Amino acid sequence: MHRRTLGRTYGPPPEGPFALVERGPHGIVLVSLDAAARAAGLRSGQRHADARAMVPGLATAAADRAADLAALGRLAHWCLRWSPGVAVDACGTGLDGVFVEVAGSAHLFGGEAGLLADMRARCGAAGIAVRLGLADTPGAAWGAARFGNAAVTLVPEGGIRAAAAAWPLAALRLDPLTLARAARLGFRTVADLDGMPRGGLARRFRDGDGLGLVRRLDQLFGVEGEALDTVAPAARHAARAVFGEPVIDMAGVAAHLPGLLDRLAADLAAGGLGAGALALTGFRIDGGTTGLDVRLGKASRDTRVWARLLETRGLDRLDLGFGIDALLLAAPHVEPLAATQLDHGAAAAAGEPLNDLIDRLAARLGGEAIRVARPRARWLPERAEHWLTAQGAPPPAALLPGLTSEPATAPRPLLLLDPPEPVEATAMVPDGAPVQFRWRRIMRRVARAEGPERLAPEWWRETGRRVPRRTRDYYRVEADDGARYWLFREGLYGWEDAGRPPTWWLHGLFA
Amino acid sequence: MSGPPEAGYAELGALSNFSFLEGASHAAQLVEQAKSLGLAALGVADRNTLAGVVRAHKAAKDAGLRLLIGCRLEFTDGSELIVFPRDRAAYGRLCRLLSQGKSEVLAASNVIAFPGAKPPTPSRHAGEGQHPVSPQSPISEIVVKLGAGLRQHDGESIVSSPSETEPRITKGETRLTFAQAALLGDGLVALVPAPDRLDAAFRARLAEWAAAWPDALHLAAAPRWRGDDRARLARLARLAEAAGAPLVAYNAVRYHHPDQRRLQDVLTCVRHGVTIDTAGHALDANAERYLKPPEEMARLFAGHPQALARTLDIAAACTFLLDELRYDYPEEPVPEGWTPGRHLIRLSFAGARAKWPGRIPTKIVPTIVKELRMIRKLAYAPYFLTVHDIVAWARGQTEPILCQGRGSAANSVVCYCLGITAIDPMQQDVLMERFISEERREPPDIDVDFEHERRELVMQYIYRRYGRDRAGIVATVIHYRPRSAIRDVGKALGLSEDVTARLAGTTWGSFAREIDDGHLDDTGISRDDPRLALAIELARQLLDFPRHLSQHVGGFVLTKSPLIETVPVGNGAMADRTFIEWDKDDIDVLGMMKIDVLALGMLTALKRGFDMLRDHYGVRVGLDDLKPTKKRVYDMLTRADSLGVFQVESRAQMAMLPRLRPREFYDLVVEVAIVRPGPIQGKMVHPYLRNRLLRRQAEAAGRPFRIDFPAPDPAHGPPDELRNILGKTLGVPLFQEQAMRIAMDAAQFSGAEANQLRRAMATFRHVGTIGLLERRMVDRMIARGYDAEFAENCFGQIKGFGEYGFPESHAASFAHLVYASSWLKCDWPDVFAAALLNSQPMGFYAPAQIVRDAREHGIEVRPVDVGTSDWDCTLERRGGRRRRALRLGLRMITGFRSVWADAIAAAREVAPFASLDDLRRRAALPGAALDRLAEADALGSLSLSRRQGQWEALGAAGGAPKAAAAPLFDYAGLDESDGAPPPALPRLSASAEVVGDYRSLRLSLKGHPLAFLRDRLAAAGAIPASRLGQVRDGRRVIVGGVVLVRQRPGTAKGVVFLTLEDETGVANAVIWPSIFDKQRAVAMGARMLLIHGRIQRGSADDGGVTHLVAERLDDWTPALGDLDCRNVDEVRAAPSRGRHPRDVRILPASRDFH
Repeated sequence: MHRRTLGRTYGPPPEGPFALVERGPHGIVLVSLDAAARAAGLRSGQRHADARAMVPGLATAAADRAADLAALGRLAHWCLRWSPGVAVDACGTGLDGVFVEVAGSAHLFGGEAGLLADMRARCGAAGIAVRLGLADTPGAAWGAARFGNAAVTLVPEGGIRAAAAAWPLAALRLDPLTLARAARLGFRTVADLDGMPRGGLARRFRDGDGLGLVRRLDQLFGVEGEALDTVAPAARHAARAVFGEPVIDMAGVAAHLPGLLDRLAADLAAGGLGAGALALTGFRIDGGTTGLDVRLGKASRDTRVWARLLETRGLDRLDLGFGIDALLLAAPHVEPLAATQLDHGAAAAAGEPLNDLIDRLAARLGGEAIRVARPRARWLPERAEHWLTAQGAPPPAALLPGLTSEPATAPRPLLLLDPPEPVEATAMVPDGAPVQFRWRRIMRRVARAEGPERLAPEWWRETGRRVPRRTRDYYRVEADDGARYWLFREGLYGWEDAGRPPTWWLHGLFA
Repeated sequence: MSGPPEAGYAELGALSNFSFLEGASHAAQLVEQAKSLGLAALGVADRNTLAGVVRAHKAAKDAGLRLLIGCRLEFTDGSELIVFPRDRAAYGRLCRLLSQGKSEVLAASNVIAFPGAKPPTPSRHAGEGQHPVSPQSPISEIVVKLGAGLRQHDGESIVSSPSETEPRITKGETRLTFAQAALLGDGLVALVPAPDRLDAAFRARLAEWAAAWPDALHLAAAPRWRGDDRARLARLARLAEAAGAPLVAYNAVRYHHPDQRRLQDVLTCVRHGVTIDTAGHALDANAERYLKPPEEMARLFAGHPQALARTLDIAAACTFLLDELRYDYPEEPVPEGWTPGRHLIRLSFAGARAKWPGRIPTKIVPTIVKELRMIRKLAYAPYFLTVHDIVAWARGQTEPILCQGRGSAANSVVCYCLGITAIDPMQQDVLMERFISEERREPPDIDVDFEHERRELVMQYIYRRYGRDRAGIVATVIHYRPRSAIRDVGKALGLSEDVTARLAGTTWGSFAREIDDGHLDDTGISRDDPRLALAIELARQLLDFPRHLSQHVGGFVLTKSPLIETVPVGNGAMADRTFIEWDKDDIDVLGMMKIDVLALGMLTALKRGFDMLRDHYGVRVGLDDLKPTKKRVYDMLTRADSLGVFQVESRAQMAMLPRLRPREFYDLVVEVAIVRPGPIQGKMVHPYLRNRLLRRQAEAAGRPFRIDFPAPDPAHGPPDELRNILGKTLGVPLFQEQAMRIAMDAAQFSGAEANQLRRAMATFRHVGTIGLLERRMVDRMIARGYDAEFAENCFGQIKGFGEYGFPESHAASFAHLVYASSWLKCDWPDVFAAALLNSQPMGFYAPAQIVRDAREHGIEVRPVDVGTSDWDCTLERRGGRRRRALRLGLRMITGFRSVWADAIAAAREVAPFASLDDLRRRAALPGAALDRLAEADALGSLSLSRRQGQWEALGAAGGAPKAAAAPLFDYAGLDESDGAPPPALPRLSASAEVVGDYRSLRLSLKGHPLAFLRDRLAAAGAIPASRLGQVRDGRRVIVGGVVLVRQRPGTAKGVVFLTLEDETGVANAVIWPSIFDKQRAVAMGARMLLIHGRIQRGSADDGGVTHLVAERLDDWTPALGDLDCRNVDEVRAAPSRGRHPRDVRILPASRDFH
């Protein structure tokens, strides 16, 4: 499977050779290429400079491993439609695979062949090119997907040895060092290792980073089990609905929901359990998932409570895309059902810390809606604070440590006018403090003044209407009415934008 | 000083861009701005360095501005002090102080030995009583303690010598304390920059310093524009008064004009490693740190007129100018009672008698006398003596170090007699007066090449001989180039890495001067992006800013009085290296002399070769003994059989040799010089070759040969005025000095003009004056009746020389090495190959080609084997035959270590190895070593194939417990092994064996990889490279081979030269830009190519060089990967993914030059 991370700064990648690049120990290297780049003879791991010498028109963007992993994670979640046991493949270097444990679920799709056909069809429909391998062990499936002769390889039960014989050793998920070492001894295929003394192999290929060769062999043949790190705790209690035609609106979801709720409740009731949390997942036909989680203060299997919570949580905000063709309602967390249920507002009364409040507000309003102000080391007063999403915002002290130990700026007023208001002022040229100024039609005489504090514009920011382009001289003044003001003159006399005379502004009021 | 006194002002303490990543203007920009603003003087004080002062000094002299040279000392506790020396002595002490802060070696240097320095001692402080040092002050305590230490150790060390535990001072670092600076004593003016925070700690420090340094200390205040300047100034004035350190106005200048603020912000970001968007308060709040006119400073310091007036007082007090530096050359090698001149005369004639036993030729004596007279007149005798001393030392070692001099002054009989050069003046005209002229008064220039592996010994000798306080390596100032500039600026502006890489990648070669707009458009980066436009603009400004100091490759400056009192000296990046802060242009300005102690790989190879000749054949020969007269050597060169030979082994040289047909030594001099940008750009190659051909034809026909020299109009001068200059080179100028002479004689340049031209030539890349000179020279030559084309070509050549010019004297010295290495190759090819292999890496060709060439010359080459190989390649007896066989050494194995090889050799002395385990145990080899041996198939004498060896070695390597757990087995020499019989390992195919050899040794004696692909190549229609010679000119052929060398010379207008190799030989391909642009990826990336092209053969006169002019390239790189398989049908058709590069990298990468 090949993904590309779109260049965030410079728009979508152009047509033609394109590669993602990353800084390696010896300079920038290509990490992922599109078909055109591969056709042009480039390869992953190549130095960017060499690649550019070969293909001057090569377009590149910085690789974003985290985003790739996230994308693979989303895909893995989507695969939950076929089975609760889905894991992102962490063996390969390329982050390009997903494991699906189909032992218990193949029958739902008409057997293994049917399941593979379904997978291929749905992935194809979602625009994802896949190679599929199905075998008795994860290791064999991994190899089958990558080194099988066809895009879909089904290794029959008990047929690993026969199928894997011709695979290259790379099918064993070995680290490059082991692989190179084995290659040097002339081992190329899995069959080459057959008949070699285990002891001798184990001694020579037990190494630091990767799993030893023998262990990988054992995993391939199922001599040794292998645990997969599944993306979602495989919920043992779940109900699913698969639709013949994609559901494209909320009404459809709402129609299917009661059935799911009832089936899950019945499942739980059979075990004397209540759900501590619910997860609703819709499987979109374009290869994505949409869903929401609800955490219950207290376990419950009251479908009306569940329905109301799902409703509150924002059922209508589910993003159905072009439609979903399956719904899964799971209870990822269950506990024995106990007697009473607490009132929802009680916790708040007990005096939660701010973070809890933020979490609760975020649950209701969405994380993006809750923001906090944080100071920021900037000279321009209006840029000296900014708003961050409250959840996960760093504590104020953690910002820009160590750049300066000095309290950088002169005193700032408590009230900052946004935007600054124009005033008429009389002052000595070039940089005298105002003697008097008129603000909101009232003339104020200045009794005392201090300044100027000179702040130059942030030249690196794109100039637009709202971005200042001239230097400001700030003055703290005390007017004869006793109030203290923060005024600035924008523009220096003499050399800065001489065609436009400096202007005066009131930016803030001191307490 | 200019202006009325009340408006007068001198900015003191400006930072130039030699305060790296802080100052944002060149010194020259500051000087010019200061001049135009009417400042009375400018004080430049960079952070802990005087590296930029010579440039500032020169700029100030040109502009006619008073310049104060100083330094902003930054102490280890973070406090700062700006100091300006008032006189030469104080300047010397400042240099010494900085040197001691930059190298612990110098901190311990003998301070007393310097007669001029008067370091303050406690007695002096107490006795004169003018330093009211309060006894409680911690500073004075340190002074007293240090003084006591001084007495105790009797001049060992005046400053606290660094404790053993302290880490070495790194390059560029300065470790100083005020206690050290306080010892600078009188003669300096010091300014304490007022910090942002005027806290108690600062007040205490100010008081202490003022007490330690009365009269000299000032408090320097600069407006901050934080809103409180008036109050702050008043407060500082009070502080100054209280501390007794008068207030001085300054503006803490970091750039000459407010427009530079953006660049300064970017530099700040680079310094902190942050982007401009996040730098925040690390940036300045405004653009006020620029040079301001006196009136503005007066306005800003209204109420403190005395603070302004003091700047003028200080400027008046500091009269020191760099012009006062008197360079004095050491007189070290002169024995007691002799003058340098007389000593040189004695040595010269002693040398002459040794060179010409019996009688010194009559032709020589007057030349020596003439040269000595000139040397005496210019007082250069000590310089020649030091060079002689160094060379004599190198020769005098128990294992003499080969060396040879070159350079302008080396072209003299004196140098020959002193043993500095080996150019026999009887064979070769030497014309020293051409290079050392009285009117130029330029320092002489002698470069000496030493064996590259032992050059360091010579350098350390020089340090020992003259002392680290009197000998230092010259600096090289590393400037911002387009790549580094755009990379740093892009990063600071937050451009993503791939974008900056793409921008940086648009320039071919890191020395491209311009960030070319055309190139930018290739990259597909939108130029409308404002950030990008900013980045490019700022990167342009940043170009040529100094980035850091580095060491010159080998230029030493020596002085009689301590060097560290002329210029600061500091630690280099390499241990045991110290270097001065000035580069070669700087020392040129000050008229200091430098000796280049350079490293040359061929000298190492020749030394090894001479040693082997002695040991194996009993032939004793030295570099000086070789008379360049053997015909068979010239015959060999004429055949272009020059692989491995010094200088003439490159493809272009090989193509030139058959055309030039060298017959005598001077032909080699020409050969070395002609394949260079100068003659090529000057279009001198063909005329010269044509004249040679004409001469040959004339000689064959018995006709006299005459050259028609380009001549001026008879009205303007004698028709043979160029004959004297160009006679030896058949009427065609080939050497740098010929071009100069033409400028002087044919274009009638005055001495001053010629000087200007020469300087422009040397610094061609830096200045734009060359265009002016070009017009002057060409016009004058035309006016005097010369052919316009000839005139232009002469100048074109001068331009070419600007980059890599070769004066005749250099060429002659190199030609001597060409002959020496050719002689070795011709007469002793086995020795030559072994010596060359043992001196790798050097030269143009990889070991594989050297071995191949040796085998083609009939040398038996034996494989690496643990049973016989040493670390180095060795020669072995071969039956009764005279010629020895070449045994490849363990050094050929990639990743093998010499200590392992030594251990193997030592254990082998006792008894041959019986088994791998025996080898491991007795030579105490780690698993990695066994592994490498097995990979190299070097276990043949243990009857282990590569595979078996690898299996065994892996067992030993991976099975650490084996060795430890079974001492009994170990003792008995038993192999407890795996309890399993030796496994049936897959067999290696012949091609895989070859590939294995290449992987480990980068060559194979078993065959050439391409031999295994011959069937497929033949099926594709390719012919072997060896058959190219028989193909008719102009015919289309196909040749396949691995890419050995890829060249894209700057002079060839985008033409790419490829050298292909197959199992039969090499093919030289030419790719014209039209094909290259179409198949760029293949041309640049492929490791194996199939080239469809046309044969182009030079005429017999040209030596019949065969070129393959490419018409189409096929990338056969994947075929190489197939070689590694056991059999061909194993090549898997599918695995839709590209082969991993590691799999394909079975051959060493080509050597690419561009």
